[in-house]
Amino acid sequence: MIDTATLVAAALIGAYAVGVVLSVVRERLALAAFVRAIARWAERPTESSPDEAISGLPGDYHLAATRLTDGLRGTADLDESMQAAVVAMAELPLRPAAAFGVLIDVALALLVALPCLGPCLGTAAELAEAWASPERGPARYAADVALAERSFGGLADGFAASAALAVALSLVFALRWWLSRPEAREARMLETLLRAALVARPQLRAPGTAALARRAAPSLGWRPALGPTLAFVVAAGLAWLVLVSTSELRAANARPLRFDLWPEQRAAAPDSVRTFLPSHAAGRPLESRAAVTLIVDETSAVLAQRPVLRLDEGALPVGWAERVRSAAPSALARFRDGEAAPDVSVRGHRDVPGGTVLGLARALSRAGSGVLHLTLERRISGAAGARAVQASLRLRTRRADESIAPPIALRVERNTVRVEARAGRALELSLSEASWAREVAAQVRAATGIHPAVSPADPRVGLEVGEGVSYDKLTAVLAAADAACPPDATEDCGLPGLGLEFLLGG
Amino acid sequence: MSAVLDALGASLPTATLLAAGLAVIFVSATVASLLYRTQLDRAAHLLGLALGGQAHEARVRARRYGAAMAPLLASLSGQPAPAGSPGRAQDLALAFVCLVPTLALPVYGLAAIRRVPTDQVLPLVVALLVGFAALLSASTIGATVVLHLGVRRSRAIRAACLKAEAQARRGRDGEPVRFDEERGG
Repeated sequence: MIDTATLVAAALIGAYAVGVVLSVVRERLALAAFVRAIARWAERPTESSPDEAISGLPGDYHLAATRLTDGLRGTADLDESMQAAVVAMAELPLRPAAAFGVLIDVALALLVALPCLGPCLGTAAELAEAWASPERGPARYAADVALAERSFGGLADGFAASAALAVALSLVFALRWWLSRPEAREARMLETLLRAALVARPQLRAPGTAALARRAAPSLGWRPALGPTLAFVVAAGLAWLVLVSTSELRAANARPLRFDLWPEQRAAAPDSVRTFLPSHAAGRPLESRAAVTLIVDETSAVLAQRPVLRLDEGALPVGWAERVRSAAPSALARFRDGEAAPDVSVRGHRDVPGGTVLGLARALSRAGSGVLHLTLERRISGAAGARAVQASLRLRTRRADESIAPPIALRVERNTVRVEARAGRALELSLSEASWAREVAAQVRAATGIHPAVSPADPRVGLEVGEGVSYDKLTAVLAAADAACPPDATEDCGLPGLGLEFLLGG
Repeated sequence: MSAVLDALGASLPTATLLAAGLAVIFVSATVASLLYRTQLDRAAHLLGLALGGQAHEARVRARRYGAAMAPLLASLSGQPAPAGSPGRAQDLALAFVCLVPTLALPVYGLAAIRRVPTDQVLPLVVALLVGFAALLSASTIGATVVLHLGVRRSRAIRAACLKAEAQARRGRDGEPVRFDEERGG
């Protein structure tokens, strides 16, 4: 995507190149017209005047042309007049004037630098704000990571645009050097003076002018080109060396960010259930304190290692609520630590209905459980290959005394997810579209205040689930909201989730 | 803005390097400007001496002024040298000096970013970005000014050479006169 600054710079450089070409064309036409006018005057001296021929020339050439016409009129020696014209051309400060010429070139060079200067200063300002911000913690960390990705991405784009513009400007400067440098303009005028003199005086002999013209004419030999050619070869060689020596760094920069933050002691050991867990790049390290384990697969529900329900392809049987209600208190009591309600670690098979897991979660909450941790499997990619760890999304039922509604609610259906912000309009996204995860992430961040500039963040997200939603799909939506990794990343970057708290209605 | 200044203050070596770089660029452009003015004055002075009949004195002084006046010395000696650009190496060197701070800052940054404590990385990066933007602009302006002055100076010396050679051919009484033959005496 080309930004506006680059487009403007490219347009101005292009306009300058067109201007250079047009000025040369205009100048050539004027010089040709001058020769024709001198020829007319030489044929019929009474019908025209050399002054008319001079008036059609660009102002820079008037003095030299006047010196020539003085000689042609016979008021001075023609050879000397032509030599004076050659010297006048060499002495004249050709337009643009010195200061204006510097200004034009500085402006063109700064135009080339503009696409990278803007991101440089913008990134510096954003990083300085982030550095000065008193906010700390995981949410701030996630925001800073997003900031770094965005800013440095813009910086890379800016430098690439500047490099492309530098190539274009080099070509324009080469064109200008070829067509419009003072020696080239002098040579054109010198050629015109000689043509005009020969047209007016076919028998002209001007040895002094011929010798001086040979001195003044730009060299067409290979020696003047040798230095720039060598300089180009050396510069290209140095650039190649720089590119080779920094190739590893650039390859590293091109790779997605990786975070080796997962606490090893909290990365749960693989077990037989692990392979059934949903796998998404979200969730935080498992809590260290003991929790009741609820395992739900397609055939059974096991609470604290005791089977409590037999399931038919994951569907809850008739009378399940009573059986859970009777089994839950004793299981929870074994893990109760003082007054605190024990947490529940939910390990659900990814193919079971989401409603089954949430129904059991709600029943356990009613029986006195604390927070439910929906366990996910993450495959964090790193230099040494992917590493499997377990993470959890926090889920609890909304308390009766919780009068303030969460800032945002998700309603997950079989094919859609509806995002309803407390302050703002509702948004319905199709789960078949590629951008749904990015949209969910953006909406949740905006509504919950997970941004370094806003404090404190309200991490609660309301949750409702419709019929026919698999547990895998349900956790995918929750993970999209919770993930700190870039939503479009194809690999798990390893950042712990934002720590959102999903609230089920009571 | 204040956060950026705070970050610059927190990364003192980078801020110092930035200030030194700006000073180097300013000094280079000033030196180029002084050289331009001096050499233009010298060329005009030598031409004035030669056209005023003191060609020998002009040649002696041109020899004393060194390589920059060599083309004019050759013209005054009646042995015009091939057209060239005297002092181009000097201009390129001064233009390169203008670019050195912009090249040096990232090199310093790459080395420093691995050494500073973690909490100092962010202000260092901010200082590097601001410094690079400032130095890139200043280097661009400085190098452009230096090269422009060089081109103008070369052209002025070349014009002086042509004028001297034309004058040498013209002579006082219509006869060609060489500057190595003292006029009027």
